[in-house]
Amino acid sequence: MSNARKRLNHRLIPKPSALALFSVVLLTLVFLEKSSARAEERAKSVTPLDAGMLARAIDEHIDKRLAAEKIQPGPRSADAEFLRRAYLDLAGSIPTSEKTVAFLDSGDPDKRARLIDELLAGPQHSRHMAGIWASRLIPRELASVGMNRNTMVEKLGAWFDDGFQKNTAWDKLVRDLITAKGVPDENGAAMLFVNPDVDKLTDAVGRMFLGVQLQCAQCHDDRLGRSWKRADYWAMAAFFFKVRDNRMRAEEAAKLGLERGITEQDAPRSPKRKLPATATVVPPKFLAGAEAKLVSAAPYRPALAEWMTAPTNPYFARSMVNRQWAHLFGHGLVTPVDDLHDKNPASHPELLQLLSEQFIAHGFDVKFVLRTICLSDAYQRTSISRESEEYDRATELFARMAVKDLTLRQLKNAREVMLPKKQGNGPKPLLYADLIEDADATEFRKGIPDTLIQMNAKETGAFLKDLTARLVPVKSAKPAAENLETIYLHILSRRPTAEEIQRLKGYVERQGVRAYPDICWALLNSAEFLLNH
Amino acid sequence: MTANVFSRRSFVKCLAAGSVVSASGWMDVLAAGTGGTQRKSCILLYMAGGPSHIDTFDPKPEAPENIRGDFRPIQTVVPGIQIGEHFSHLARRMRHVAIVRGMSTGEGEHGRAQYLTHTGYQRGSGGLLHPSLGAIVSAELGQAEFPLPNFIAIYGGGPPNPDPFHGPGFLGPRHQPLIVRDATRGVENLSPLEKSSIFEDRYTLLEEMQRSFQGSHPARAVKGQTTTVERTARLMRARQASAFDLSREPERVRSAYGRTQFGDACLMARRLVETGVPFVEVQQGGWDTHGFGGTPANGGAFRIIRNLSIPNDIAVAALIDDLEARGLLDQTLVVWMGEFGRTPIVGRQGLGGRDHYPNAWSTLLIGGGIRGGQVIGRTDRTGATVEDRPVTIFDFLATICRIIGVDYTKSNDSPGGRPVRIVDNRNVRPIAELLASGQ
Repeated sequence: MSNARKRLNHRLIPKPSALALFSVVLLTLVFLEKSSARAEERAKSVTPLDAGMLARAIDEHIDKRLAAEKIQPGPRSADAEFLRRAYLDLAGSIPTSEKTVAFLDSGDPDKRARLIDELLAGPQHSRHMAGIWASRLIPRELASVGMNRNTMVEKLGAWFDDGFQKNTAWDKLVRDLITAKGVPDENGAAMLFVNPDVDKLTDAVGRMFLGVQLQCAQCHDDRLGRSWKRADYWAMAAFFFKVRDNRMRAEEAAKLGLERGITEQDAPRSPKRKLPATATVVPPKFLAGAEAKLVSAAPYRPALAEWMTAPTNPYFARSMVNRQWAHLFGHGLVTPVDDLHDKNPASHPELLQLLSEQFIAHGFDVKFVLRTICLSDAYQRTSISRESEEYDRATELFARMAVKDLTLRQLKNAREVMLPKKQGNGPKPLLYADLIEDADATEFRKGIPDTLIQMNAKETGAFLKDLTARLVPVKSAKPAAENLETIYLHILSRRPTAEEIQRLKGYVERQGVRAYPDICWALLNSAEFLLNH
Repeated sequence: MTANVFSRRSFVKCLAAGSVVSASGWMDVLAAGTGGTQRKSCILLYMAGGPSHIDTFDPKPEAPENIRGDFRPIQTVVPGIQIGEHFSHLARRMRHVAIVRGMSTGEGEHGRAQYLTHTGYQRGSGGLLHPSLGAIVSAELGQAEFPLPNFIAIYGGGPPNPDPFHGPGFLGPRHQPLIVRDATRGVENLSPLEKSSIFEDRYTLLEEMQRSFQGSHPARAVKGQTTTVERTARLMRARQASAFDLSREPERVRSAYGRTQFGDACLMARRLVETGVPFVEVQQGGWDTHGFGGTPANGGAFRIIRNLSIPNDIAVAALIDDLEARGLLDQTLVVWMGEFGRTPIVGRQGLGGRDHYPNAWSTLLIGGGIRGGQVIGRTDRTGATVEDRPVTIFDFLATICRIIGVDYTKSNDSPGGRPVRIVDNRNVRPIAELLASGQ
């Protein structure tokens, strides 16, 4: 055991050869069509629009396309529909019944805008977004790093939570992350680098922050029309070759005069783990062109971070804006969200351009983009439709809101809102939970085993019992209609329709008190509850 | 049910008879398999941890003591084939068994090797999560209308393994395994919370809600959710779900399997295959026999191997007999494998056992209409290198696919739209010697 422990100490992110360490690397690379100077000029000349104006601009772009395609945009969502959607998207949860009643009964014409601001300012929002980013950045297969993945996600998540709460500018946040140093327990950002596989790190950074999939080029020149070559991949990966994870104890490190945690070493150490067979060793260079000036004695990551987060970077802002869009609509303007390249154009190229420019003009303000999109008519449209033929096309072009599957966190949070005192109550985590986070949200991502848990697990039974006891106390002699309204407000965040009351009242009359857990069970297993619509 | 199996079986026989005429009987039977007329099932018996080839199916009696280990070889019913002494039951059924002694796979870390042997891909390659063999079979051979999941995975004892069966990967949750943690207890959460009349009342309420919501939301996610709920209820009510109930087996049968965790799991696998499930994986852990906790006095690693082998031998032999007696052996391929073999030299780490060794190791293929009673490939005198007919993991998985009728050259689309082949290797060579010619 202690031997194994020792082997883990000072684990290395591999540095395959001294070739990658040039004394000075100065490379002239492929240039984009637009010179970076011109792009910079353009970025400066953009006037920041306020959220309302930009939301109207979004709708102009969307509606223009719908008119061209002869698709009728759907009507505005009902208040209850909007409320639940905004909560799930922005706070990762459902509203309490009190909140629901207050919102539905409010006559304030600006109540939707107020709700958006309130949700974006709340602690649930930053926690929700942090959870998404952290779990996507920490790869799943981490059996060999000697650390629990959940712990890693939690620490990195706490770091993101802090950043999102302060609404730290996205470029700064990403720069801090990419250049993170120190002991991961103290600096959660450093968790990103507790990852023995430099190729996975390269993939994650490419997909999450640049919206590009480099992984194909790991083994061969890309054949799907993306322009990158295998050498491009390993040139990106080379920026991480000097990163080390020193897991010595503090006294030990002090004695040897070494920094603990994540550092960048000047000199290469012999690699402890082999790179994949497909690795080639090339000097570090930026993806798709720019000059990289690197001094071998200095760390490489700051140069990468500068290039990545510059307003002139062709991917950085677009990728984030597209991800935000996809977060709210279930699919991006470019889809998949991590596949920005020339042969995979946006559904609304001008809109994507506009949003990226505005994101930059607003100093990479993350919440500004979310607020703006939420204010648009497109986001506030209903998901209801009777036309099944045209439905997919209509949601693709944002004439209807798409229906999204809940993530496990949303589901867990929703249960805690319904039954706040019973922390950790409810069914156990579903199987293949991690897969669910990444797959297309417009597909239902759970299978039969998950559904068996949801329907029949012992924990489901306990939850159902407690929930029913809370919503319909045995001693209360309220009329059925009132009980039904309470149940609907808590579980579905809306009032039941007259027809629903009529039908279920009949059931209550037939079955007596037994009816309430039955109704709660059915609602908790319903598509309306288990999906975001 | 029986009649059905029988007619299918006779059909296979006719086909096989016809194939004698052709130069390559292999291709004919395979063509039938991929044509969808002949459905086979697969039971994967997975020995997590990596069993030593020398101590099981590739004994080296001529090697020095520090290589040959504690066990003697025994003669099987097939002349010229010897196996380790703790597999005496299998030795008597060797005519159904093909031993592949030339496995050579190159990945010596448990997690990565288990991923590789289940999926045929290096972990992390292409940034994808690849589907496990069970999920592939579920997607290729599974019937949408069948009320049970098409991929069922059963724990057969041993220490827990974090992601033992590997999931559906990019094929999606529809092909995720239904996991049975304890064969004697059946599927968890299969019974409703309350008695079935209450479940039916609840389900009727749910159906009304689903209908109304689906009517106003013709979205993919809604369709997916309502279908999954329907399939789950169908499973709960299915008479085939009784396949999960071992108490329906006569005492005689249960005893034949040894009444061990592994034996019970094998018996459940037989019940599931019989009812129409195309892929069942049974996993037995504990084969990582470095010799931890072992001392020369208590027999060390070899005692552990012996204790794993004896019930394993009994259960696999019982499975063969049982499948044969039911006329299912020709339609059911049983695969016995771990993630790698173990070092020829004993006690390298001073622990008295053998360490990870992917360079040369053994697997078994049983039934499924293959030509049994043969050994494919050969390792050297010390079990260190493959001297004849090396078999890569791609060759091996492709062989399984061909036997059960899955076209391993087919590609599935990954989420990024990239086609990913079922077995990804241009130079893949399925083991043609296994084909039963003129059988």
